[in-house]
Amino acid sequence: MTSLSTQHELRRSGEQLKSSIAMAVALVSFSMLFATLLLGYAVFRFTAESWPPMGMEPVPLTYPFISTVLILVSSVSFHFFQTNFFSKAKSMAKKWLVLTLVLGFGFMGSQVLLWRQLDHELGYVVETGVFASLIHVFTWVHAAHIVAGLLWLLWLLPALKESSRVVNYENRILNAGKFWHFLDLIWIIMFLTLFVL
Amino acid sequence: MAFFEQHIHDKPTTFLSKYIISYDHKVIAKQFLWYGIAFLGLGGMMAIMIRWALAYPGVPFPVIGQFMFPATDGVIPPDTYAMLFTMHGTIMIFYAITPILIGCFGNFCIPLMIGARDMVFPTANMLSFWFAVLSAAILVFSLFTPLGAAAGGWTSYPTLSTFIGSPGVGQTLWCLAIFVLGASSTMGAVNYITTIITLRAPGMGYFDMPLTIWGLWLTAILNAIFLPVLGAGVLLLIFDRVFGTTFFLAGAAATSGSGDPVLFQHVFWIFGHPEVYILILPAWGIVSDLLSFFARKPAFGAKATALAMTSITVLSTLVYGHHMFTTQMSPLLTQTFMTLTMTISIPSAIFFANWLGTIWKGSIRFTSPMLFSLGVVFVFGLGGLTGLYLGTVTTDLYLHDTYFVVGHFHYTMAASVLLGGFAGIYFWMPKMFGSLMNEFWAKVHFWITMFGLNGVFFGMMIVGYGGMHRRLYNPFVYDYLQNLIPINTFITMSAIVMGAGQIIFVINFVHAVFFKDEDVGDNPWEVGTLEWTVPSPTPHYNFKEIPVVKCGPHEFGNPALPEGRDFQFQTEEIAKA
Amino acid sequence: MMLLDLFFAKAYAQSGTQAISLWERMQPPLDISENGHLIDWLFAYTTAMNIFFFFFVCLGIFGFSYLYSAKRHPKAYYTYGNKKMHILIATAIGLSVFIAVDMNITRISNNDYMNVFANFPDEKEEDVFKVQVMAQQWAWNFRYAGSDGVFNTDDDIITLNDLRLPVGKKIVFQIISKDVIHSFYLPNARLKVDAIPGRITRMWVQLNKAGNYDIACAEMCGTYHYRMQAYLTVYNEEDFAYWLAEAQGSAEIENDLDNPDLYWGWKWQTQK
Repeated sequence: MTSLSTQHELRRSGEQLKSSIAMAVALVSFSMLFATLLLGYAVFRFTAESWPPMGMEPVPLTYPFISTVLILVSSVSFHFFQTNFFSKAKSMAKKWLVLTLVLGFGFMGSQVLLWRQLDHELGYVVETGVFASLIHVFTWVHAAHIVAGLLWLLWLLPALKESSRVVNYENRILNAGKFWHFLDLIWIIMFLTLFVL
Repeated sequence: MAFFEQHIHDKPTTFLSKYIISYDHKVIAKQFLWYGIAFLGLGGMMAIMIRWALAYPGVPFPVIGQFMFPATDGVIPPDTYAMLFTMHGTIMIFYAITPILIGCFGNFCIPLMIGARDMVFPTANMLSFWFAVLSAAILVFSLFTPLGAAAGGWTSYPTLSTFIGSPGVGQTLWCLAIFVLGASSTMGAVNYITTIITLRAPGMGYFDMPLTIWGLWLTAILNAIFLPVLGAGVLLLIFDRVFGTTFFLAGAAATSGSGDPVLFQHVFWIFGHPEVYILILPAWGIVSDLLSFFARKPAFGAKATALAMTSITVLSTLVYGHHMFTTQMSPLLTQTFMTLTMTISIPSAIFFANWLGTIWKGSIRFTSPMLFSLGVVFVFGLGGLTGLYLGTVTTDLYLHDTYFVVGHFHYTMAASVLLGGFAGIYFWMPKMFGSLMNEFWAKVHFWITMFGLNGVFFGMMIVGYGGMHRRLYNPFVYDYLQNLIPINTFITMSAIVMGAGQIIFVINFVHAVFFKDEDVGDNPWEVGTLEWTVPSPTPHYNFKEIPVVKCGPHEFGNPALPEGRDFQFQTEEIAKA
Repeated sequence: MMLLDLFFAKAYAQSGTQAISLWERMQPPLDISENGHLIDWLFAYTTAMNIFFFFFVCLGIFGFSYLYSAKRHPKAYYTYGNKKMHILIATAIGLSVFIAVDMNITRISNNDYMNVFANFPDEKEEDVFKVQVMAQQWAWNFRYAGSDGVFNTDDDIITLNDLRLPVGKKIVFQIISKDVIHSFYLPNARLKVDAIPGRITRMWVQLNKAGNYDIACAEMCGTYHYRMQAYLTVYNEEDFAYWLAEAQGSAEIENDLDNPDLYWGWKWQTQK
């Protein structure tokens, strides 16, 4: 009969493993969604005579660049949140989580500014041909996932007050982190393929 | 191995928690089963209407025709016909087969056969069912919109499925329903994969799992990877329809810029080909197990069968282009897809040989699950071989979009999966509901279904070879099809017989579930997998003690076993002489 | 057969083809093309292979069911099927099916495809007859270049649902769709190719039998997809020259040059 603490350990590692496997599968699924959109983009781009097509000007890099910086820093701040939490520095952890949230909302803000610029200044409304459509679809789908990510991060906040249910909470943080970093990676790919190159 | 043991929860008490919002995988399985059977009936009814229009154009549909189509005096009009075959395909694939084979058997069998108390994520499991219900509600609602439901075929190719080709909200709702269902199935897939990896009972290695679980696991893996591809495709179509983008628009419809309709076909079939394997893998697994169980002999080459199924899973991702040979891809691409498609024959032939090897020198008990399993071997053999004609480019140029294709995929998807599904229902009935279905009527059901099936789908292959193309409202229009008309009538007759035969199943099923009060014992089929070590019907916690697995799932006929027994439970050490 | 006759009486009455045997009914439409026989032959070959292997499958299913039923064979043979001999036989079966059937038909089909069906005649070397096809909901438009040999000019012969072709000549089609995806299907030539909006596809045939035949649309294109029928008339050389001259004459008189819809054709795409 294994001791209570060993059983507890086994349960914790089991819960963690189940969480990470499930998260890995879910990330594969999300990747395939974005990969398909990327496939569509590749097909349109490489079969077009010129890109941007029809002599359209490329989108100014200001807002996309700001978005990139915001989300990159938010990933870094999440990382500090995670490491602080795991080394039991609860109040520091809370500060980093709040910063991550602020940066995340900042990212959404910069996306809104980007959309405003696209629609009103540049006239690249969603239906103005494939170039504008792709940018809109990609950023909207990504933003939808960011919103889900932000809700997840918000969900992490209340439990920072008490110290109960530690087991599940650690997994929640790890998984939220994986999702958030994943979205960051997707954004970087989008930034490079849609805006820079 | 099980990385942790799940707690035993209290038994749910309220009606709501027992039957409606249930977290118990067995209840969710039953929910999916009722849902799937209901849509099987609806889809089947649509098939009968399609066949009626093909055999007797201009003749009002009997009984309900006048009520449904008063404007045409009970005759099915051509636009409704288009909706019928679109909805028939959509419903059968996503709302009948997926819920029964994957939703029901996946949910029911996985925890029980691997020795777990429930899935790893019961909440996600419950949500997966209710998302599926939401999706069905959206789809059924689309039937009642002013311009009707989607009518561009279940493949909904643009530009027919764009806003110009299909005005009206029906097609948009179809896209939305598919997207929501994709979310439901992906949640389920994550659940199944994680459960199988993390909750197998101690001693159960991957090759000690029943082949049913292998089939369900591989299906879940394909689902997790490829459903999002369909989701993306359908999402882009929604964008074209609702937000005015032009991803798939071209030609006269592309007023604001142009896209590529064939891109949709690529995206659709990148999902679509794995999808057909998603539908058949659980049935393959179930048949592989049942043949062993009722031949009282270990599954021949079980490990090879598992590996063959795995290699088919991998290969299925590489062959989608054979659905698009007539779109004139480059010759190199065409040749590549043809050759890759052919390679799937090797693993298929191997596990076919294994199936025959399982019943070879067995001691076969012809129970209804066994009859249906043997039926699957027959129809899948036929269906699989007819795929060869469609895989070779030149014959496909003639046969593409003819009834030959319809016959082929109905043999492999409808006949095989349906027979496999019935085999599973008859087999797991005691474990699910605590009673056995009536064996005599089960056998009657089997024979009617077999004769009906073969009449319908072999007939389709005949008319397809005769050149009859698909999605045709009235074959009498064409001279070159005149000779085939009596064969079409024969197909319709067989379909009606087959449909009528299913009523026997429904009565048998409802009777066994609600009106039979018998004690069938823990293990009426005398089979050794873990679900048969617990009472019938299964208690809510499944296992009082998590079992420890000591042998494989097909331990039958060991001569070292004592008199009177010819099988071992997975919890017993292999008998030594 | 009386019972079957009762079932089919109505169908017979409508189709008026009562006196044909089932075997004849099952045959594909008359092959009027030079190369259609390749497809028919491959189909027959694959069928022969399939019958051979399926016969053994049935022998297994029915034979084993009979020989090894519990009553007849009370003690099952305890084997996992993983001995060397078992693996050898199963693999041999798998590989023999693959090599005998799959690789064989792949090789044949590949040759036929690359050497014949995808091997378009060289327009510089050979006397190729060109037709442009535009599919629309729900009709087929055909365009001939006319005496100037250039497409989309004033003297083009344009027909609706009426394709006329000569025997003995290589005919190349370039096909497009106006609206949704259709598929240009010639059952008597065993060929079809999709008609896609925004992209030109092509197909070539050589016909060898005069007569009247059907053309159908083989891709779901809307409510009246089932009625998207065109008529193929194949003439021998003399009759075709006569028709062409006559049609040319009518075209020059009847083509309404002020109607922009007349000019739905395109510059003939020559292959490099």
